[in-house]
Amino acid sequence: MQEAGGSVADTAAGSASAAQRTSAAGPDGERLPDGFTWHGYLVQLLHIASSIEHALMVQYLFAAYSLDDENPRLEPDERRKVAQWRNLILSVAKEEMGHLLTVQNVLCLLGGQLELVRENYPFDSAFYPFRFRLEPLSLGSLACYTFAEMGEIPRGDEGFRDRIVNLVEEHLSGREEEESLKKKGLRVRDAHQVGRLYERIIEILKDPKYIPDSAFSYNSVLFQASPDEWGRGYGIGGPPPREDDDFHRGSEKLQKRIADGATHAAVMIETAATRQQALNVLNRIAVQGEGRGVEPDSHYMRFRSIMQDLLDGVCKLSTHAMAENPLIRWPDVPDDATGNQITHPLSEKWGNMFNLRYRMLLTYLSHSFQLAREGSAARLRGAVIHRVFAEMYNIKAIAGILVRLPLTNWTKRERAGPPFQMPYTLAISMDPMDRWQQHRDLLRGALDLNGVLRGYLKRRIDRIDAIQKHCSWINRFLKFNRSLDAEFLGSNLEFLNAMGGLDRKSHDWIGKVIAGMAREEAPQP
Amino acid sequence: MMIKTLRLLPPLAFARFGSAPKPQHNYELAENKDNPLDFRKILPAETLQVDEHGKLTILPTADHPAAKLRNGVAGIFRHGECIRPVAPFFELLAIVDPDPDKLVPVTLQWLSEHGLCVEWKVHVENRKVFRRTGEKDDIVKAKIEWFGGHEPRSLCGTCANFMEGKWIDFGQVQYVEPNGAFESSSHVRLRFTPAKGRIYGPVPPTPRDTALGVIPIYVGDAWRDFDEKMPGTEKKKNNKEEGQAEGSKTWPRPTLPPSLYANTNDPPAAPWLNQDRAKSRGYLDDACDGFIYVRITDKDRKPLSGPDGKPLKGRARICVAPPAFIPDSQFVRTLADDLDQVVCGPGADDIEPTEARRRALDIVRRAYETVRFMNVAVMNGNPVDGRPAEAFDTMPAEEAFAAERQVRPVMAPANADTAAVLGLHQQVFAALSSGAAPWFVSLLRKPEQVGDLTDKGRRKMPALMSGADSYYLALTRRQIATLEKAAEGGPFAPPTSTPSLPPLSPRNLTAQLQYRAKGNPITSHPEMAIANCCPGLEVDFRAVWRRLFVDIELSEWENYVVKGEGTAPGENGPVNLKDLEGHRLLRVDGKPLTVNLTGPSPAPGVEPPIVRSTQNPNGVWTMEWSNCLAHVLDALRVSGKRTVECEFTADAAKYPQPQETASVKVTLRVRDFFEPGTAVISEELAKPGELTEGLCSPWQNDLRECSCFYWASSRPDFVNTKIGNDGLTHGDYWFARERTGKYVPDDYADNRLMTYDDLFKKWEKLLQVQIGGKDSTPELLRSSDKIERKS
Repeated sequence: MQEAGGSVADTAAGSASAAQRTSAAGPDGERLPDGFTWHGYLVQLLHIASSIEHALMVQYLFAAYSLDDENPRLEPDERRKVAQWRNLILSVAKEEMGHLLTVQNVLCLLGGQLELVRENYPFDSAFYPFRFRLEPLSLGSLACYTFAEMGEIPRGDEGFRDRIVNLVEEHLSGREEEESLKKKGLRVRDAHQVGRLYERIIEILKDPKYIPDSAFSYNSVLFQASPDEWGRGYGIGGPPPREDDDFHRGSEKLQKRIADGATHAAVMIETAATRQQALNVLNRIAVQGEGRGVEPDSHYMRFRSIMQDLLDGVCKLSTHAMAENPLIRWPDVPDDATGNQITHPLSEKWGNMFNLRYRMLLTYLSHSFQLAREGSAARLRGAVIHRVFAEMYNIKAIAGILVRLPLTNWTKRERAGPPFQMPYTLAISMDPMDRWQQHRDLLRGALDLNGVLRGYLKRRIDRIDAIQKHCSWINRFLKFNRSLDAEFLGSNLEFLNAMGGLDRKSHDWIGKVIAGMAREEAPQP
Repeated sequence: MMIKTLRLLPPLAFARFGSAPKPQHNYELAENKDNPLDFRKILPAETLQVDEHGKLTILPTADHPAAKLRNGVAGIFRHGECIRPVAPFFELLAIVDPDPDKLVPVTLQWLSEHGLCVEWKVHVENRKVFRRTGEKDDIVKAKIEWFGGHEPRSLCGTCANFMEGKWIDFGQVQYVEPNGAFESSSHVRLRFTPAKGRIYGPVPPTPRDTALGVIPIYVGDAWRDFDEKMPGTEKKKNNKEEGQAEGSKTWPRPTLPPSLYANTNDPPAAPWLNQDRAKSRGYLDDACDGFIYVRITDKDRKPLSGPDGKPLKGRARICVAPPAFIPDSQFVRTLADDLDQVVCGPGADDIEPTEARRRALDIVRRAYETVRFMNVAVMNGNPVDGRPAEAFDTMPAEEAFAAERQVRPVMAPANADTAAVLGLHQQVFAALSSGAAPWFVSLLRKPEQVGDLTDKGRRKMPALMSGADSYYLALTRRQIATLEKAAEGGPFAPPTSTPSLPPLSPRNLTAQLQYRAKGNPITSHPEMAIANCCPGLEVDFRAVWRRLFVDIELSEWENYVVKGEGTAPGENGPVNLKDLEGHRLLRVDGKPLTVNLTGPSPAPGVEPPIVRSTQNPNGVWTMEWSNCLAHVLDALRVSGKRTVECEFTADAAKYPQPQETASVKVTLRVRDFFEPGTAVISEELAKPGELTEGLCSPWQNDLRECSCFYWASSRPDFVNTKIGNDGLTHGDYWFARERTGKYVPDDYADNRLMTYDDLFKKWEKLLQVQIGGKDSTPELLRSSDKIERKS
């Protein structure tokens, strides 16, 4: 089994200090930061790019989950509109996932370390204007996302850019990042720092003086994420045909596509076997994000279309009353961690389950890069990739639950929301058999937590049943208040039953793999 | 009280072969509450027993096989070496004054009070040989004229080409004697018991025929040695069916797939492995389909009339089919889905969001129940044991042969393992059960995308299976619309897991189609019949659409006009419809009936090219009728739109033609799909025998020949599966003679697999009913194998 033989092996980074890794993160000038080689510097920039893609994806997911198309006050048309916005934002998030994988592929090619860590540090760098913040969608937060994905302003859209900048400033006013924003100059024409980051990476990568041919691992494609494995039935994004530069025509085309239901993602996952292929894929990432001139399907244009809907008052914004930066207080989380602690007992348990599944997702993802696409390990790689997707579905479902659960016992309205907390480590074991053991440990943890949650839910449902004997209206009352009614809790229980069944199956499956490895029946690492 | 009209329910039921003396018990499927993703549990349900005098009793629950502890469930489906036949009941209901909005059971008391009697009539046919030869004398017909007694009546299938005095046993019917012993025992009902699943053949028999136990009966000369693909065969065929133009050269055309009959080739006998030739052995089976009629008479047997002065009659359809070998699973698209689309239209506006989510969950459940029985790695087109994918019968191989292209796996080979793919589908189910809205709608294959042979197109869901048009399977439009509706959002509403049967009323056709007559197991219902009929297992549903337009008859599987008569308005005056024979119907009310077959682009940004082949030089294919004509029935249902504008190719065309072809417009009338006011598929659309005529003769041939990519959860592929120490799924091929745990891919030249002859001779013993994904009576297979080895 070709495991651990990939270019990205065993060194998936944990949460390194932000200060250490941001020292050279500035995009200005050609100067190589002290203590770096060009190769090392390029790898660092790719790590930053990876962190930014990951962080963007998570923020977009949070924003999308916050949209409430179940609000009974919405008219059917409004409900559809809100669902459409959510699907648009989700499509962008899925594409960011593609960017994240593609950046890992370039890292593979360069023999760099896999980087799935997402911490706040990129936002302290000059490459991104905002701090990481999980917040429900609002005009202000959407303006921030639109601004972040903004490239060269299309002709005829300068007025919109100015309006966005005002909204961003207003949204961030009073927040700590405002000062740094002022320093970076939000109003300068090239304020789009993510695009600048890719430009910088490309500048270094394309020059053999900085990165010689010998720096590339030409056999790393075997370990890279491929569109065949990861693309599923989604559109595989590639370079779109160049649209004309007329902003209004481009915008109209996008609106028509959205109206036709084309809100699905074109997930771009590309392998890179050579320097030129790496340059091409990085270029395409930049184009899919900010667009090239007027690109109807760019992230910028998709956010812009939602923005325009909101500004035009097409539909009122309906969101769950989710807390910003919800978090579970772990023993190792410092007391001064910013965020809203989830303390409601059920929400806290689900929040823990969410974080655990998020960790499992990233661990499977990390492992998939250690298993070669050919040879005896190939099908295990396929199975591990399926589990990445399975965890995405778990995360989606749990997020759907958390947006309905209260933040604390005392807040009536404020909802919890998915915490998306990074695990204390993403390092995976050196020994291939231990990697499988690591998944097993996580699954055991999930099964234990599942039992705790089910116990709590059963007690709560029993209590409602008991009350209902005296007050037959109690469940209707709870439902009317969109509170924890028996039906909602029952569906939680059904989900947990199914999730537990699948976890037990996965646990047994991994047991078989480990047994095979021990008896040398399974392909060897 | 006056009877306004009669209804015989269910309007369509399936009987299934078996030679056991007593029929299959009634059972129900229930979710395993401890593990909802596991196989559904088979639970005992009220089972009716009828003795030879028509006396009705209920089997005590303790005697139900499912109530017995040790391997009892298998006893529902088998008695010793014999499969238990599925013998459905039909119940008589009536609309009576003063409440015309209710359907009430007709009972013994009511008949006695009014001094009335009930009489029955049956007419079934087997037209499988006629479908190939076009000889009217090859139609096998069984009729029982009006009768009222309670003794069993045999259905003797006679045919002009049989030896004198010989007939095929199509089974029997019995009018169950109503009594007052228990609730509902006084209801008027008839039981249909099918034939045993025997094979009949030519006279004189060959030594092989005799060795296989084939019953000699056929003396005609058209069927024995018939070869559908022999050059010049079509010219010889003159259809002498009543009303059909003498000398017509357009019918019968080859079936799709062609040569679906027992042939004389040495193993491997499949025609495509023998230069596409298949000479018929002249075998017939004892399948049939047709109508059961009921009427009410006075004591002098004088039929009663309704308020309109016409005799009071009801009828229902019966189809005889092979057993359902996986009785605890359902296919992702069943005949019930297609009939639901006919009744309710292709949209889902009538479905409440909660119900949409329940149905979405049900579709996903059926999807993983389907995946569970597929060897996904093999069906994906992965090489097996160093042998290339084209060596095995799979959907990507089928596509490649049809398109004359190299076989390409559909998914990344590394991603194709049954347990891993099953787990992913189950994860979707788990997420939906939390109340999450479906997010995968864009991954579903639209009916217009069946010809998209690019990687993206082939990876759409459902994957790796064939649709009724022989290209990649799509769900019904209504299933897709239901999933879209469930994805739309709305007030939080977790899906309820138990469906509630709609209230029965004369207007509610859905309720009538779903009617569960007392004692009928789910295996007798359309929910257990597959819908991707190519040609099908229980019925060839494609045949129903041939005569949807008055005075035009199409081939059952493509847009080719085989018969036209009379005239219809055209752009420039009346068009003689006979002149359209051999032409192709391109559009109906502007909507195309064909799709282009498109393959991967040679370069990014370039339009995918049309995939042309020798037999399809234009790279065009007809979409399956059920989805592409759904809009016609919907317009008729919603607004009573009875006429449609049909555009035919201006010239006769042997090969499918692109949409750009010059065309002529003709206005045609649309027939009702159901008999007026009922959920019985109209006789004008399908006469007795026509629902099964496109199926294989005998049916065992098709079951052996058609691989898992047709009907994974009805005709299983991958059984007795478990995870090996390599982390992959291992198990047996359903047709493996010996269960070793090592999958033997479907190869007609592999001696480890059952042959056609094995199935002709002892299908009941060899074919294992799957319960919980495992052989339910493995000892039978082992004993059979020992005997084989000894001999």
